[in-house]
Amino acid sequence: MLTPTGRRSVPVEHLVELLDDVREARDRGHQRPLKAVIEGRRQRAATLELDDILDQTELASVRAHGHRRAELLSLGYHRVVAQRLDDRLVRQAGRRLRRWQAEGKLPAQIGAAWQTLLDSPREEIAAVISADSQLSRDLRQSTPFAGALSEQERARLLALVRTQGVLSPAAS
Amino acid sequence: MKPEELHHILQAAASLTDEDQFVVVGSQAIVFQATTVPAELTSSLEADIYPRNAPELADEIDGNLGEGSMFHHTYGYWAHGVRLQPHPSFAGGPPRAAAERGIPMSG
Repeated sequence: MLTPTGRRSVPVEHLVELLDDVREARDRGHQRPLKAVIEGRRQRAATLELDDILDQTELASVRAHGHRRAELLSLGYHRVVAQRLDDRLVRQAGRRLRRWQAEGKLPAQIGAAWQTLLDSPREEIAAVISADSQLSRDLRQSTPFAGALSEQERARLLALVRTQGVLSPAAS
Repeated sequence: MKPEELHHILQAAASLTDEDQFVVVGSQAIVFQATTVPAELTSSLEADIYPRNAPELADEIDGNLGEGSMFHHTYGYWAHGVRLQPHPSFAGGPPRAAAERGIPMSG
């Protein structure tokens, strides 16, 4: 990944997460733990189906406006996150939110809205990030749940959306 | 999005696609053109872009720099790869507000 200074690097957080997963796989007795982790991520991604994530009305709205396809992709991503939401994912999102706030990445109002939501019961967080409302769309534009799904799962979602003709012409 | 963040996105997109000219679509196009960027425009964390000479590579941008990606996760801002499709009312040229910028390749 290209950094702002032009260097290429892999984020430490991703390496640590991979290392943790590899250790867990080794502890479970896998002889080739890295391969087991990668295959496990692929298999989990392969279970994603668009029909389980977006309803027909939402899919039919794909041409409502030029940015709708990107909105549906974001909605689908967050619905998968909502299905899996646990304390660990909420803590990770909170850490990411605080880091972005400290780095001045988020406007104060948006950061405060996310902090209020992340302090709410898990069911409420899941409901808000899964909603196809303007408020939820605005919040998802600056989601701290980036990185909550694996790259394999993101790739699967993108492919599903493309296959269904859901991704993305220019805004008109 | 700050101008330097948009520049970072374009540098990363250039590195990813081996393309050196991009069209920025929508409100972020003004970030390039205005001497003073209105605060409303710096609140957006998303840039809609496509490679000027290879718009089919927009998928690569979504896949690597898009929402939820490692890039987004790390830097807090992200790119949406806009895919151009013919439109009956679209006679040619970039849609909505757009700015083009050549990106010096690095790395």
